[in-house]
Amino acid sequence: MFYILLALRQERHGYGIMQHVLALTGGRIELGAGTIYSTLGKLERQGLIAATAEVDRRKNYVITERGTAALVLEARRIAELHDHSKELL
Amino acid sequence: MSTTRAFWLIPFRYTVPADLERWFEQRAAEGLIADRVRQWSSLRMRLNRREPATYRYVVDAQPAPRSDYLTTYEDLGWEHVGQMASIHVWRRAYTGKRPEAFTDRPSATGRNLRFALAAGIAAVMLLVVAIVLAIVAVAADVAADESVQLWLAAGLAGLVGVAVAAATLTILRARNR
Repeated sequence: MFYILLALRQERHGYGIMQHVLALTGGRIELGAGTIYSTLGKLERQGLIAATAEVDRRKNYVITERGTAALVLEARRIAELHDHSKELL
Repeated sequence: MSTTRAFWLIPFRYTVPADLERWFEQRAAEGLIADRVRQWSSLRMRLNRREPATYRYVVDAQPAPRSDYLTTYEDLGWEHVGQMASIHVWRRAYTGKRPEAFTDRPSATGRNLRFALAAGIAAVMLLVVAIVLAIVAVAADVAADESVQLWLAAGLAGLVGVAVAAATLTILRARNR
């Protein structure tokens, strides 16, 4: 969910999200079609993303203000984890 | 030798999605390929005999898919084999690592729960029908032969309903697979 929200800071469709996350993680995370489709539906229902346009049955989505707030909150949580993890290394 | 082979009641015999997928894949490895599934394939599944192939099959329950459902899968390399009621069947030929369509736990569990919900609704409907038929058989002023028919129908609906309810529990127990 984090990576999908991160990818949708720019308007993208399902395939675009997969490509973006794959590139961003250096090939480590390849999101599956079922995961992308179901997560987009869940995020849209929660108002964290919104559909913007549809071309050839491909829907574009973009993050909403509420989604951005949720993403920042999650980023802060991860940063805190990262800080605490550094103590171990 | 026939170019096809039919199998009966496959989605009812393999109710857990992961088991149904493995069934498709094992048949394909034997040279019995599901190239197309249709509405009635849940009762009689016809597979084509040809060279064994390595396919990843994925089943997904989508009662009301959004307009971008098919393209999301197709863009990521999946071929739509068809659908039986709300169950969509997808496949992808591969070598090496077996591809996944559900790459995180919540979406995989969500898929399994959608199967359980569909089966659960069917079970409840069948059991309600069985109870209503039994009530009519007891309470209504019907002839003896009609009463027997009503009891038979009630019994049949009840038996199938119990079987589907058991399948629902099996799917729920395997929801994290």
